[in-house]
Amino acid sequence: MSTLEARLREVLSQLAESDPPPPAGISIAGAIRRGHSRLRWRRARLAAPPVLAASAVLAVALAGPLTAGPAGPAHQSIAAAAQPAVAAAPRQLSALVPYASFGWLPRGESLRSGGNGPVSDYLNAYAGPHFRWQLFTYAAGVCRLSGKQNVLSCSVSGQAEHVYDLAGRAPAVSGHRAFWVSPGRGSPRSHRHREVVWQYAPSGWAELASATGGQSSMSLLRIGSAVSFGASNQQVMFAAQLANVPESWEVTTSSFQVARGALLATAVVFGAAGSNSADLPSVTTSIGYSACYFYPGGQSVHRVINGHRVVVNRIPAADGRPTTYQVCAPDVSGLSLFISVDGGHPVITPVTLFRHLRALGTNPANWSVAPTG
Amino acid sequence: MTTPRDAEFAQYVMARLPSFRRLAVTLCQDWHRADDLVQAAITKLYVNWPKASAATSTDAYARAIIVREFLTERRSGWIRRVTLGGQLPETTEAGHDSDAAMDMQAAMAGLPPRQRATLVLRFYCDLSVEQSAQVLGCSAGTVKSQTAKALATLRRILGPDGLPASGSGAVIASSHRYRGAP
Repeated sequence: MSTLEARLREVLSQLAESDPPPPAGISIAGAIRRGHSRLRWRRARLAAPPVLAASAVLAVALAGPLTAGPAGPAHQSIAAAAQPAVAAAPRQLSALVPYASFGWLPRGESLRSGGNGPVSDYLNAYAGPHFRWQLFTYAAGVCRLSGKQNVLSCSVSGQAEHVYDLAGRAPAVSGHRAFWVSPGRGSPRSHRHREVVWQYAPSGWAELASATGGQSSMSLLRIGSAVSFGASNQQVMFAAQLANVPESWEVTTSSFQVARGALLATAVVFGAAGSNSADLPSVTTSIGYSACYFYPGGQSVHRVINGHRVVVNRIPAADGRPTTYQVCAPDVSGLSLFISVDGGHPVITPVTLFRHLRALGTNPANWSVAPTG
Repeated sequence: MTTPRDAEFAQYVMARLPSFRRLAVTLCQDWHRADDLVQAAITKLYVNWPKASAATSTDAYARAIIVREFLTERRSGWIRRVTLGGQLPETTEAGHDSDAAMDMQAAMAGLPPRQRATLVLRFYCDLSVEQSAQVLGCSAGTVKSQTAKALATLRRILGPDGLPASGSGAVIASSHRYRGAP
């Protein structure tokens, strides 16, 4: 390496490590809000004609087997994968157990990650480095089909609304009415994806999206037909448990990754009935070392808690954002942990939570289905 | 009520925000612009969150969004609103080293955005030529030539060791004027 290159490295690091001002211009909530409106806009400006044409061809090709049962060798596999219908969609989904599960995926592909919340779940499946399939499941009453059957709106929170611009009827999925969702015209051809939504039970809807073109419409319908609804037999597992927390605390949302054959909880948000959930912690866990950022200006301090080196952050309130308390532990029994609590007066600080945290290590045999204990 | 997607996204960004800002400031060389860049990038990241969260490395995906957003902004006329020269970030060190660092930063600021992004990816993010090419969406050959051109410019301005050559101030100033021209 030349002296200039070494000097360049040094100066860039110096610049990055210089005292940053508080992140005044950054709002995560704002990004989510704007992201939602972009997604809505993207779906709203769609072109139907090419999609409708493609849909029509597929409808002709697939309507028979998917709606009327087996009619040939190619159809038998689709029909064989079809799952029994669900009588009723639940009003509330579990934050710890995915409500849906894939029954069939193309060779080499498998469930890799997902998330569970009170009214919607999602699962990601793929092989290799690229995202391929995503399944969203909505609880009863969350989605509403417009009178003209051209828009499906799923309202999942006060701010979030997933709006599907429907391109036309798709072949029924497991005997349930289904619609193609229009792809974004503005997106590059390589990024165009196919989506199908179907009513898996009265008032319950599901969406399956593919990130690829080609044969994916056929695969999409086949995968959709094989999806099972109803609490799956695989629960989210925890590699770290919070101990000595109020009994009223419960997980409101969880995200997971498939690690070592289990659904390892990677991000968990706690809530409690009658309490301001903003003051309750969220915990992020991952396998392996992950460096912690040290805020300058006295916002961060190094500490050793229970023998583990951690960075404790106190980020003052600014621009309408509450004070945030964080504990970041780069390596606890092979795990990296990050606990965060917003609010000026948290019920329990992250330091106390970390002090009582039980790290269960990287061996799935030691993981627990309970987030607290 | 929060969706799991939103919660996962918020958690991820909260944990990574400092590193996003550090990357952004090496590109923009100004904390306020860096924050604008990060805000735009995390909005894009949210829109693409299903892909990003499912990617082998979500960090690499996010890094690519930040760098591409930086390049897009520079192409879209953002550069014309930038006040050039004389507003370099303060460093905590003083004396000759600090001056040299400021000269280096000034020289970096005079580079075309793509060359600057290439240097940041190669010498700050420690990415290989191939990894940098993936982030920038170009060939490995282009990364090599952009790196070579950028280093040659820095050598011309700062001297072979990265320390200011005599009269470098004039070179930097003219570089700023050139870059700032509409």
